[in-house]
Amino acid sequence: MWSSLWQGLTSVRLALLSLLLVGLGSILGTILPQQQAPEFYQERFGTVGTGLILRLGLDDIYRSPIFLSFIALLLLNLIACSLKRLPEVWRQITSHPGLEAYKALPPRLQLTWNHRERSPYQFLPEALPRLLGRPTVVEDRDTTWYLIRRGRWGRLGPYLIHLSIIIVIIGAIIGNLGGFQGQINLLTGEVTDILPLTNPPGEKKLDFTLRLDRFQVSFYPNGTPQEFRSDLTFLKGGQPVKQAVLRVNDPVTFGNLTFYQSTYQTMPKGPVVLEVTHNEKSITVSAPLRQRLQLPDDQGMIMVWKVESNIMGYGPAVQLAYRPAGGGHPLLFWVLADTSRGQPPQPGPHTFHLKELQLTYSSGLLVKYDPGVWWVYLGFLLMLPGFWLALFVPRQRWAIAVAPLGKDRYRLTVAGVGDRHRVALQRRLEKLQAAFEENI
Amino acid sequence: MSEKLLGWVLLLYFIGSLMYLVAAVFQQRQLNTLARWPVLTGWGLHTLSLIWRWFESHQLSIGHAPLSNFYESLLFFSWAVICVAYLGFWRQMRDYLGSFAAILACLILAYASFGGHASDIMPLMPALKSNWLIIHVVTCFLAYAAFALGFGAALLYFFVSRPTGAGKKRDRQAHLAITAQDLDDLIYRAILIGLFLLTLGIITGAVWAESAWGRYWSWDPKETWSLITWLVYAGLLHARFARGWQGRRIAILAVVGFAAVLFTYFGVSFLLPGLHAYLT
Ligand code: HEM
Repeated sequence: MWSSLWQGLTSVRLALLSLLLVGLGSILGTILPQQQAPEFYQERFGTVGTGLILRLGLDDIYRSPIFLSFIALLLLNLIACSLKRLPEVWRQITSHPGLEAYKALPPRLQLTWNHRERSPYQFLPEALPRLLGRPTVVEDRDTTWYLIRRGRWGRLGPYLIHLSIIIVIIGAIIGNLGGFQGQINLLTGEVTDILPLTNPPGEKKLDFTLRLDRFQVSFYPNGTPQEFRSDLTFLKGGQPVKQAVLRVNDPVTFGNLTFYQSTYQTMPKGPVVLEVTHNEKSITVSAPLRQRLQLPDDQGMIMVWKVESNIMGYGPAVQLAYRPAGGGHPLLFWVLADTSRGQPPQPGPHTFHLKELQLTYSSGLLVKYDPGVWWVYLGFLLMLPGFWLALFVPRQRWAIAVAPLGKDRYRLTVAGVGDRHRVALQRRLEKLQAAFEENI
Repeated sequence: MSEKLLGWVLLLYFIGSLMYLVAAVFQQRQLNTLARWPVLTGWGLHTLSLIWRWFESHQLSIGHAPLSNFYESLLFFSWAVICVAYLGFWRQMRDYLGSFAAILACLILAYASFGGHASDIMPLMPALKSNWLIIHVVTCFLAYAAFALGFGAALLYFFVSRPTGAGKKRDRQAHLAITAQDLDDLIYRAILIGLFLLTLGIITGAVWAESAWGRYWSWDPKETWSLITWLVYAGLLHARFARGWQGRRIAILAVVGFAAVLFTYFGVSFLLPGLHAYLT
């Protein structure tokens, strides 16, 4: 019972099954839209389908117990297989297989040696290290065996790969259980010591203060952003301890936290000052961002919804939400600061004109603590030599038997096997043959 | 300028492919050596045009490697097919396989040129400005190229080993000058090379994502599909190493794997949303 369970856990059959399951789960996750509201699924899959999707966690499949159990299966399989095979493989690598094992190798080449000056007993120990590798010499009755193992460390390759995959998965688990992630939005000059968390949800008090000294965006001539940059100062007890420039693709670390430039937002500096005209009468109002403002005489409501530093090449603009008197849906429209090329239509009866708009940026920083990432990277690093050993170091065993036939005449028999690399074996053999024929 | 060069490249690949085909069909073995010339010359020009494009982007003072949008990735994919074919399979690049590689490179290039993709050199958005971009894209596309060759060998395998009368089959093998066994070996080697490069590609992508977005893995569709591709080929290798699968079954898996490659490359960009969508 236990032994058959163990058998199953270490089998390649299970490996294929777990690869298949992880693959199918991943495919589902890319086809079925993830992390949508229940109504979204309701609309497409009906009540029964939605029930199933939500019950099984398919709406967030990569974090669902089902998918995680597939990965657990893969992990278990890898660990079990390594535990079972590694000691054996290690023994095979470090100890020499006996002569009997070499005698069983399939013969590849046979030739007669009749060189007067030079016996194969001289030639082979000299030439073999260059041609095949350093031989172990064994005498067996009148036959002398030259035994060679090539690429034996290659045996370790698959296990190094497997080990590295185990380490990567464990690193991911450590990161998910022990790490956190948050997002800070700061205006220029603003300071904070609170980190609002996105995963897991919550809030963290920092043991330092972060200040955004400056935020800059630069654009290419065609208007696409070229670079975002935040100048940060980290303070402890009111004293600056570190200054850093944060760019996309160039994170900054402080303590165990890593900061990434993730987004930015254009914000008005202070309230937006608007001139509102109605029936030839103008008034001036100041509207802070996202705050309702009642127009005089009960004529409706406005709100500054959004500001942009450059809207489609027309310069700075404010997006207003306008709700006419007596209710109804709010209407959204843009008001340009620079009216030399006209002004987009406004729903009226009021007309709006921008009197003053000073812009500033708010910089969005992603903040992360991930204690597992170095494990993941260690796994990556180990995987490369693992692949090299497993795939490109041909493992071969050669046995060259020399038996005397008469005076100055010997029979040479070359036997060899290579696992999986037929071509490599063939090439070696050709090289060997050429070298022998030169010397015979 | 770099585009004009590509017209010639296209033509040379096409000529090379025809020559390989003639060599195969009419058993003109010597022609194989000659067929290398147009293809390799084309490849030289292709290399030149990529370098040229890089140079042009520097002149527009938005200098970046020509690997930043769909059009440029196609140019590189085509280049990579020939590169991997000759570097990895010099001896086997003859007859039908030579013809396959050359015509594939030719078709990709034609699709790049006439498929209506934006071919202007565009500036890079901030997240793409990284040296990881180059090494990530290069390793991924070299991997795709190796898988494409494995796919070609698998198709040839079906052709060679099509079950007919035993005599006829031997005839066909003699005619093709390549045995089912050779092809099996070739599929396998192409996939080893491809899997190694794909692993490198995924790793470099992860390291890059960690520095650009703060997440080495975010289950974005393109990432996920590259993992699926990786799983298929890893499955193929295990079936072969440990369960002794060979021949037909391996060839079928090589086709399935290449379908996953195509989906990772094209399907995700066009059908599924995600981070990598800017590549379209
Ligand atoms: C692409 C990466 C991988 C490569 C190149 C690779 C390579 C290998 C090789 C060469 C063997 C045969 C070892 C031998 O015969 O001594 C093997 C066995 C095995 N592999 Fe992998 N492997 C990879 C990934 C995986 C993964 C992701 C799993 C997860 C399930 C896995 C599970 C196994 C198992 C269970 C065995 C059987 C162990 C044994 O009996 O030796 N491998 N692998």
